[in-house]
Amino acid sequence: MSSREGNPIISTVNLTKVYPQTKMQALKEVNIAIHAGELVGIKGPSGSGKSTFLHLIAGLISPTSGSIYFKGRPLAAMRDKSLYRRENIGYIFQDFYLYPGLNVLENLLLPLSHRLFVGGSSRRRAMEILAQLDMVDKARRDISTLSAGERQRVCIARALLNEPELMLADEPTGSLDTKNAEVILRLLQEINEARGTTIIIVTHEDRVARFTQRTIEMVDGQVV
Amino acid sequence: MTFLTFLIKDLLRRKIRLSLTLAGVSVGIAACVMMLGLSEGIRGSFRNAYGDRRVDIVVYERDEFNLLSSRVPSSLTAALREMPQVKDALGVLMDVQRYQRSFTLVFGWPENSPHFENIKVVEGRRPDSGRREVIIGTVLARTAPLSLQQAIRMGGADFTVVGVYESNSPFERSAVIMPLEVFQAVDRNKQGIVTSIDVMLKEEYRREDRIREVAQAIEAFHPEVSAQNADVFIREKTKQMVMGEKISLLIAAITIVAVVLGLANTMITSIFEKRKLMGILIALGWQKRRVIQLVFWETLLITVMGGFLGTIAGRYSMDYLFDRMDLVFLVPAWDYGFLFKIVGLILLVGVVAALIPSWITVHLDPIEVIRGE
Repeated sequence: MSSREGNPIISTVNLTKVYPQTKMQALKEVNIAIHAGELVGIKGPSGSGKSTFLHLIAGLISPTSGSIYFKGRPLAAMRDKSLYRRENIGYIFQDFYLYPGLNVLENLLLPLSHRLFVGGSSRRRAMEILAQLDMVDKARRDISTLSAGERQRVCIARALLNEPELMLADEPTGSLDTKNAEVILRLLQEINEARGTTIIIVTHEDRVARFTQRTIEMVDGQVV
Repeated sequence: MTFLTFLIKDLLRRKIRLSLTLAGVSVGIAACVMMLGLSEGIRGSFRNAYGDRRVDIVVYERDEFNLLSSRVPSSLTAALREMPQVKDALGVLMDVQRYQRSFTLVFGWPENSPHFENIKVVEGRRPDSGRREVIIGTVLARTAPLSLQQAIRMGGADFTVVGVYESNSPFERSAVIMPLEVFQAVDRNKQGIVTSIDVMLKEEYRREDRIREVAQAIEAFHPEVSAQNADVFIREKTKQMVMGEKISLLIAAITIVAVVLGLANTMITSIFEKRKLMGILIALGWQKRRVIQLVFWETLLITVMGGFLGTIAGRYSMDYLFDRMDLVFLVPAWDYGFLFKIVGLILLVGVVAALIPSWITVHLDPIEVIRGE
C-alpha cells in the first residue's frame, strides 16, 4: 500500500526540540519524510527523542526550531492544532488514556463528544470498529473492567473513529505481554493494509520491525 | 454521547467528590445567609419600630438613660395633642416581663392607637378595652407555644390570648400587646404613667429644622421630659444595638471572605484534579474553548446547586436555631435582593476560580498536562 513517490504525508525539516525546564535537547535537526500508506517504525532506546518526535508531529508540543509539514502544509501555520488532530490524526497512547467512568462505547465516541449533537452514523461506525476489533460484546463494559490488551484495542478503536489519514502509536505494546503485543501489532498491520492508513509506531522493541515496512533508528535525538 | 450527556456523566463520575464539593459550597453559602439574616434582623428591628410609624419626636423622662425606667405622666399626651404642630401623640407603656424561661417585651397601647394599624392581626381579634386580653406576636405564638384563648400570666395577673399579630418589627413579633389602661391598672407602679410618648407632626413640620424647633418647644413647656427627634433618639438609645449591628455586619463580611476563599480553593483543587483529563480531551482533538466550556458548565451547575441548597439550609437553619434559643427579642430578617446579590457574587467567584486554572491548563502543551509536568 505504501507509495514513497510524490509529496510525503508528513515531513520534518531540521526539527529541534529543547525542553525549557530541563534545557535538555530531545531532538537535533531531524529530517524525516513519511509517505502515505507507509507503516513505519521509529526505534530507539529510552531518551532517544522518538516520543518527542511523535508528540511534535501530532501537534501536542511545539518545536523549538525547524518545521513540520502535513501534506505539504506547515503545522506552524495551523492555528487550531486540536482541529488538525481531530481531522487527520489517530493517536494511540502507551498508557491508553481512556476516560474513567465511561464505558467502551462512550470512550470511543469521546473525540466526537464536543458536539452538541452526535448522529446515529457515528454510533454505528463505532460499533463497526468494535466489531472489527472483536469487541462488540464489551461495548457497554466499564473500561476499568478490561485487561491491558483490551484497553489498548479500545485505544486503537478510538483512534480509528475519525478515519484518520495518519495514525501515531506511542509504544503501543509497552504495557502488554508478548501475546497481546503480537495481537496489537498484527492489528495495526491489518489496518495499514486494509485501509491504507499511514501508521508510525514508536518503540524500543526489536520485534516491531517484523511488522513495519521500514524502521527509522534514533539515538540521542538524531536519526542514525 | 453528546456534549451535554458527557457533561452529566463527567459530573457524576466521582460522586463522593461531587458530594463534598456541593457540601462545601452549600455550607459556605448557608453560613453567609445565616450571618446576613442575623445582621439584617438587627438592622431592621429599630428601623421598622419607628420608621414605619412615621414617629417624628419621642418624649421620655428627662435624663433617664434606660428607656424601660422612664416615667412620663399620661396626662402629658393630651397636652401635646393640643400643640398646633402636632398631628397626634400616643402614650406607650413598655416593660419586660418574665414569661416561661425567657423575658418578653410587653407593650401597652391605647385602644384607639394608630399603632394597631401597623400590625396585622392574623388570627383572632384585637383586645377589648378594659379587659384582661392580650395579643401576641407570631414568633412568641410559635416559640412559647401559645394559641388563642390560652391564659398567659404577666406581672402577677392572668390574661387571655385573643389574637396573634404579624409586625414588620422583629421586636414586636415576639412581644405581647395589651390595652394601655389595663397594663397601667394591673401594676400599681404604672398607674397614670407611660414610658414614652410618640409624637407625629403635621406634614408641614416634618422637616429636620422644624422637628428640632417643636422638640425644643416641648422641653421648654415641660422641663421634666426630654423630647428628641426620633432618628436621634434611636441612635442614642440603641448604641449597643448599633454596635451589635456593626459587629454582626463585620462577622458577616468576614464569613463572606472566608467562604469566598474556601470556595475558590475548592474549585481550584477540583480543577487541578481534572487537569489530566482535560489534557486527554485536548489530545483527542477537543478545542480549548470547548474544554473550558465543559469546566464552566460543570462549575456553574455545582455552584448553583450548592448555592440553592445553601440558601435554603441557611434560611431555615436560622429560623430553627432562633426558635430553639428563646432569643425572642431578635428575629433574623431577610433582604432577599441583597442576599441574592451576595450569593451570586460568591458563586461568581467560584466559577472564575475554576476558569482561571482551566484557562492556564488548556494553554499548556497537552502532553505536559497529561504527564502532570
